[in-house]
Amino acid sequence: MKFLRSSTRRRSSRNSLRVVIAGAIVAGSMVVSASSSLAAPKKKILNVASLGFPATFDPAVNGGDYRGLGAFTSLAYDPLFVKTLQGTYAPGLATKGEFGPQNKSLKITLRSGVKFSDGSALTAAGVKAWFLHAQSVPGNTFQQTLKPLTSIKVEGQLGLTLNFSDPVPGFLDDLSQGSGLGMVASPKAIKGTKMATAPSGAGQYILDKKNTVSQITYVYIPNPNYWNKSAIHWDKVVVKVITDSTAQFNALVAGQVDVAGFAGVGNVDAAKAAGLKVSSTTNLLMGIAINGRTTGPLSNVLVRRALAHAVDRKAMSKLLGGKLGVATNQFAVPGDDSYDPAIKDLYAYNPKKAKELLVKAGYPNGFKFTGLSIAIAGQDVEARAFASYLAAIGVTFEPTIADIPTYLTQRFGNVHPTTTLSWGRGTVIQMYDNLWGLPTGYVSSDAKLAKLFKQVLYATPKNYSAAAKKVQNYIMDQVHFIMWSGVPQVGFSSPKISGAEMTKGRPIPYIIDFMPSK
Amino acid sequence: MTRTKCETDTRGNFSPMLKLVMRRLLFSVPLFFFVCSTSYVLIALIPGSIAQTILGINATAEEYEAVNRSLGLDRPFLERYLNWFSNALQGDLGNSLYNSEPVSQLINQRLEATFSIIISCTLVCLVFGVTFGVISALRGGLIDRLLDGISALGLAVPNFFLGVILVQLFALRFSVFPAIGYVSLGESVSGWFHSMVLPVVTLSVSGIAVVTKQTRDAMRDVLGRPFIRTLQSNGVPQRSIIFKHALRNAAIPVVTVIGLVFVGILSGTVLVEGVFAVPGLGGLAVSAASTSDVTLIQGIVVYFTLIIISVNLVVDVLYGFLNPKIRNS
Repeated sequence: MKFLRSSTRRRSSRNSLRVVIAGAIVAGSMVVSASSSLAAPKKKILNVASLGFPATFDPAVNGGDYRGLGAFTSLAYDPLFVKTLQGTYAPGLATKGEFGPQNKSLKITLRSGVKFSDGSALTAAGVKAWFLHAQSVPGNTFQQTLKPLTSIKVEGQLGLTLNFSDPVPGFLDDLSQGSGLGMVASPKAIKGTKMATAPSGAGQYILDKKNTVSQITYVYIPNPNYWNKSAIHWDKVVVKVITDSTAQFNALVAGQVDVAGFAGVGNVDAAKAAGLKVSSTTNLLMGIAINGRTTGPLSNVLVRRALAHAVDRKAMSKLLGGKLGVATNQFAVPGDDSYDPAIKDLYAYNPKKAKELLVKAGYPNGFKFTGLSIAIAGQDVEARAFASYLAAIGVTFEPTIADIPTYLTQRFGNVHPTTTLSWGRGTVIQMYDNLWGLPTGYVSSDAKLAKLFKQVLYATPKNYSAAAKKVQNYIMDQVHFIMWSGVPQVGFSSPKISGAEMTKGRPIPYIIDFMPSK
Repeated sequence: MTRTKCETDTRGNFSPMLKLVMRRLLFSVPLFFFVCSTSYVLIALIPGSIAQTILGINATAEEYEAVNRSLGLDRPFLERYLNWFSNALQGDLGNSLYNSEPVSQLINQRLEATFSIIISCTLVCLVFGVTFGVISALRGGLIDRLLDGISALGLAVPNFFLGVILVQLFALRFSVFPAIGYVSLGESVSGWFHSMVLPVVTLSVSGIAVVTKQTRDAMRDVLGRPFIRTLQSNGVPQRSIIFKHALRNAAIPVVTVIGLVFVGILSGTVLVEGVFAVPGLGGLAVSAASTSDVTLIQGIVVYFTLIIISVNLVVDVLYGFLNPKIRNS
């Protein structure tokens, strides 16, 4: 009994000791956590998923880089003009942009007191050096855009005028965040040799090289020299390279990233069910570019028309865009400046007519051709569907589903005569500069198209619409492209952030507008 | 005092084990150079141009030539090879043609993730495969058939499919493990463990199945030999017979299989790193191939060759340890 009692006492005192220790630990940890939360408020971190990484940080070469919502460039470079949600242009590094007579010159007034991340000042002479760099650096993406640029006149410290041989009414768009041309780099960096490996803009953030692991994680921290510090919303922006689109979506649902652009329409229900914000706008035009118009069966316009008649656009649009898919046989949808209702049924679904055209062209037994595609935005799906439609008229289409770099380098080359597209909507001028007027590995130029385009550039507001439609009519009559659908572009983001909306005026969200939800 | 395996005897002769290691090492040297040289030739034959990857297709022929010249790609093949080879001997694998970063740096940044996966997977395959194999061989009956069925399933299910299922279940539905990414061991041990579970399970299942089957068959074979009956009749305890005698004798084919499983896991990382967005060597190899970055591909080949040669060396040493005949041959 005595033994029992003393044992019980010992146990009870041991238990008391345990309670005291446990209590001390809990209290201690509460104090530590409270003090640490007092000492260091939680940092605001934005995690962005990107499907790839740029080979270079030079915006003149990477064209603003669409990957990761343009994060690699937009975070570190402010554009001269900022494209708003409504599609208008607000001041950026430039406060004013005034077109001269016939839109053949543009006078730019720069913001005063702006410094680049390396400390050098934004000046008109520096911006001129930037344009010259964008015009001359090997691999620049603005050859077509800057072709009409004839001279740049510097007027004082903050003014400069760009003169062009042809009208450039859409040039403000080229100087906004959608393109890399307006993302001016520091004159010091332009003279140096590190443009490719280190961003050197006047943007909100700088690349934190110490914590960046190339091709894996890119860490951006606020730029101490930024001209408008109150506009910076994040203590850190982390761009994670996730090359697999399924892994990217999983990361979003699991809360490991906050935003990812260019998600598939097929994931919309799953994203909504997971509580993600879904933003979409009908922006992508789906179809196939026929680059190989100078060789083989595709050089015959009757063959190209036959292929265009073989596609059931209503079914294709449903496949690619669900209920929101819009069937079209033009490189435009209703509402676009070049859309012409008069040719809305130009290539109505008619396999019989397609076969007749093939016979007329001398290919009664069909033929075989290849195409380049990519598993992004449904391009692989459209490639396979197109192949099945062509099989029904005896033509064999063999698409190659390539990775991103291969697709980007070969899409206008001469490896494949065709390339699937999911192209953003735009005005005739944007379309011509960025796609319709580009030389390819097969076709160096099209004189008639260039002539029609010139009529658009010189058009008055009264005859602009007719001129734009003429361009559309020509490329469709000659079947430079076989188009089938306008589909929504979809983006997913965490409910914890706002500003990732897509609108008709600005289909690609601007990462600088992302902020913590209130 | 007994002589350890690595010591020399009084006449200066090396121990058999040390001789075995030295023999294998000597054999590995020409093998390494042969693989590196062959791969250099094969990589040079890959279609695609790094100049086009860098400049896009709208550049002029002069611009492509300028890029090729700046990267040294205009020099004769043999000169390029000898230059690369002499630099590689000094530990310099060159710079990435795509973004000019040092190849060694790009690879070393990813080594930890890849090693974490393959070493963890190998250990998991070894522990679970051998345990299941021994149980299966000893028990037979229902347990044997059950393990056999699970093994067949493990071999039949593709890695990436299993990975997707595991992510859906344990990352998205129950939020037990992260869906993507890798946490460095130096950053957080628990974070590292959490980030490793799903990729390791995904890659280990088929390896466990292979090791289980091999262990079971080898154990059954050994347990049926006369010396086991002799041991039993001499009253040696069952546990000692199984773990000291039977398992040691059955271990040689199992070690061979473990070596093969290791190599299989190494190649499997290419897919699994994609599914779980783990920044490892596999993903780097894919991206280097897609950008025609031949210098980077060659660097990765060097590392992969070194890893596989090291594994083979370890396997050979284990053979010698397990079988005196081999180390004395």
